[in-house]
Amino acid sequence: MRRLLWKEWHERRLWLALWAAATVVTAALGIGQSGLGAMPEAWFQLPLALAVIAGLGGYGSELKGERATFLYSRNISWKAVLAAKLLPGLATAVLAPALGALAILVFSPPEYHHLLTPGALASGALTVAGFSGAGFLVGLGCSIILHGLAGSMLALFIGIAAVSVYGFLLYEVLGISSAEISVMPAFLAAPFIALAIIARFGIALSGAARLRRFLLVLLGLFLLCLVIDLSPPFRAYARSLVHDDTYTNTSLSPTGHYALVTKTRNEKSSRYFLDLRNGKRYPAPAAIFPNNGATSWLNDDYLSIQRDKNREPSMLTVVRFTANGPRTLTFSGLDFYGTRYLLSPDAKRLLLAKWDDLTVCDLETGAQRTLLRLPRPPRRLPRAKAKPTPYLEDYWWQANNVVGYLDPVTKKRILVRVSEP
Amino acid sequence: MRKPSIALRLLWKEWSRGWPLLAGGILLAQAAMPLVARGVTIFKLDIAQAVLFVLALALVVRGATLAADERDRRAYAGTHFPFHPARGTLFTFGFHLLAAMVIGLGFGWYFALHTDPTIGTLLVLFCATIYLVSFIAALALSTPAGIVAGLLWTLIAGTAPFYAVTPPGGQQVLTDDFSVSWYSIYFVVVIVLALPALLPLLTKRVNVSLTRRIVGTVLLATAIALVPVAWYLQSQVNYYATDGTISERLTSPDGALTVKYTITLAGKNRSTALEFLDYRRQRAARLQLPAAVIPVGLVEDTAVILVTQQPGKRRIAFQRWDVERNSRATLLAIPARRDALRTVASQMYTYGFEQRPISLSSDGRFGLLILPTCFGLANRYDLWLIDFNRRQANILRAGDYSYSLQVTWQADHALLAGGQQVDLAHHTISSFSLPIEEKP
Repeated sequence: MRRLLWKEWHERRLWLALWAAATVVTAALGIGQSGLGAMPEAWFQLPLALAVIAGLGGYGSELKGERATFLYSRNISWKAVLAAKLLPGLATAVLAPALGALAILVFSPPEYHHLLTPGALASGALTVAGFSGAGFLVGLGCSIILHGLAGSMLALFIGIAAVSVYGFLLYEVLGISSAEISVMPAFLAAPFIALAIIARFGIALSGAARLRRFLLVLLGLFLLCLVIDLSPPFRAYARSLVHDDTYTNTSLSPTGHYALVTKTRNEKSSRYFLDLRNGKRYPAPAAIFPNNGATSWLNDDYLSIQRDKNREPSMLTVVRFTANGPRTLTFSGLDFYGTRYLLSPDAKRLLLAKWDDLTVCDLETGAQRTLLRLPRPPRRLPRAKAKPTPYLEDYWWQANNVVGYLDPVTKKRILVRVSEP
Repeated sequence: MRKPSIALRLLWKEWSRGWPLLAGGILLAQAAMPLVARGVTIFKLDIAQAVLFVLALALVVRGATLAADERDRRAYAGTHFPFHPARGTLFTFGFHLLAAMVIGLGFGWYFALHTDPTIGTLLVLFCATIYLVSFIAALALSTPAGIVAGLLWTLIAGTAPFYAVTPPGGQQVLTDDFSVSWYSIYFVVVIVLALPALLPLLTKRVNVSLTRRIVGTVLLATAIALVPVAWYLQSQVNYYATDGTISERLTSPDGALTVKYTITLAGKNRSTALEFLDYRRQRAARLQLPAAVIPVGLVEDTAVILVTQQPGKRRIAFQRWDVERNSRATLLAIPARRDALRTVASQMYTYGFEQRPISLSSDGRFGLLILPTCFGLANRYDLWLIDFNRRQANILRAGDYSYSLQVTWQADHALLAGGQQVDLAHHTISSFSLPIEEKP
């Protein structure tokens, strides 16, 4: 066994070293193995690819020439050969993430150290060990089928193609929803089964014979998975697991007093306002859910703008919460595209301001009043004759009932009283 | 009649087997140019990227198969040709390296003329290194090893070239941050590093272990050279291209207090101009800083909390701008990626200013800020809690995808959209749920 391991070490050490180095370096840079949670970052694909390649070269040396026949003519069991193939890869799969976790601790900035808990580090390392170990095993399984690295890759691509064909058949041809559960991951077992069968019975056979065995395993799994996936009991079980698709979305007011809760079950939504201080619920009027528009909170007022396809006339719906519950106000006839909303200091009036229009909405009475409307520029002017269009840029609430703005042409300060105090 | 020299005959041999790829590559690139100009996509992939990928694949296969031919011919050439066997291999290598560069130029000229000349250089060098890596790996090991090495190289080193050929957004990102020039230098370094490994392969009958040692050296040298590249890339931030300036305002709910700010993101003059306007009392104050600055919030009507970052610096400072005296005082500073605030500003521009990654509590004691992470990929974000009274800052959440904040400030907690609450006293974050379940 020691000699077999020595042989493997000499044949595989370059790829194993690269795999380990890639794991540690990407972990140290924070772009591979995670120290904050289980799932690794995108650059983990590099060590994973190297793990697969390390595995793909596994049985390459035995399949060359008559070496397998020679090897098995010695007093060596097939299990010892397989173990010697597996051990260096599995050791790398375990040791490299452990070193990666250490590298994260050493190279991460001190501001992150309180987040790098032993649990999070271990979970990140275990995930990487699991994925890269599985990648190595898949590669090793493929290496026993066809000669050389190119042959191993071809076997891998055959496996990937089988999974793709299966997925296409299941989801596109037979129309089973991708949200439903499938036994497709069972395909991952194909290289392992092929590895076990060929390592035990077929290592000295010709390439074509080994390929036939692999294809048979693949076909067997293909049919088995298809039978399971299409069987009525399994489909019923899958549906029972994905049946309850209820989810809830909440939007809190800036004061934290109210929330708009949207509950969706089986693609149907129900919505209500919730007073978080006493748990009271109020039905949300349908007008605040525009097909095309925008919604937002302004203090404890909920604003919703409904726009039609041509942008005007639009409708603004405001839900105000009073001691007697919510009150819905509607303001219409304005183009709300690009409008800014300014609340008066006493929160009783809303100034809708845009580049050519100032309108005040009274949130107590529901009245609306246009303070200023600039003339629109002619639509088509020769470029040479076109002058810069003056537009409103500065506007504010001077007092509870006074709106101020800078005249867009003279830049003079103008104050407009909107009602008696 | 005098016989042509050996060099000419070798040149003729390489030309006769090299011209189809050369012509095909250049023709493909030229045929794709009208589509590149129109921004056509195939399967959500820009046509320019697809063409570059096809050219890269062709060069990978070319490098690997040529090297395999040379390896097989070495023993035969030594006894049958009237010149050193290395000379033939050197001609093969040199001619096709040149051909790879010409193919790169055949594709890169468009970008050099229409966007940035450095992108043309980048593409030429990228094509050269693809050929180089697959040729060396195949010469030392085998054809499949050369293909695998070439593909890996295309994937790892191709980030900048593939990004550079995307429509203006990607090009501006690269040219603004000098990544193109940096990458080009890096490719030249790789070519130089590879030559010491290539020469022994060409001139000696090397045994396998020596070959592997050489390949190992090359791969190690490449890996070492990749570390600064990866490091540099990680230090970069997502920068969404704009016309160079971003103008926005921070306003009190009644509009009476406004801070207008204009950030100049690109070019040498990276600065921010701020104007505080109190319309009600007719006061104004102005500030111009040679840094990216975003106003975080207004403290009563006398001060503005600013967050600033100098170009190229790895720290972000929180400052209090006293508008009465027009003076600034630094409250505290936190580590950050280079140009992280520039990223935040351009994200606000891209996704809308309501998607603010910054929030200040109404009493001005606490702030929450989302910044590109300092440890990890540039498109991950950390949530910082800033305690201005204690002058402390803590990361509450690291490596997250969320880049905007929706905060409800309460006396001792801040509630975040998505079901998390921040304990302001203990600087911790936990999940919370609203009483929304149906009562039994």
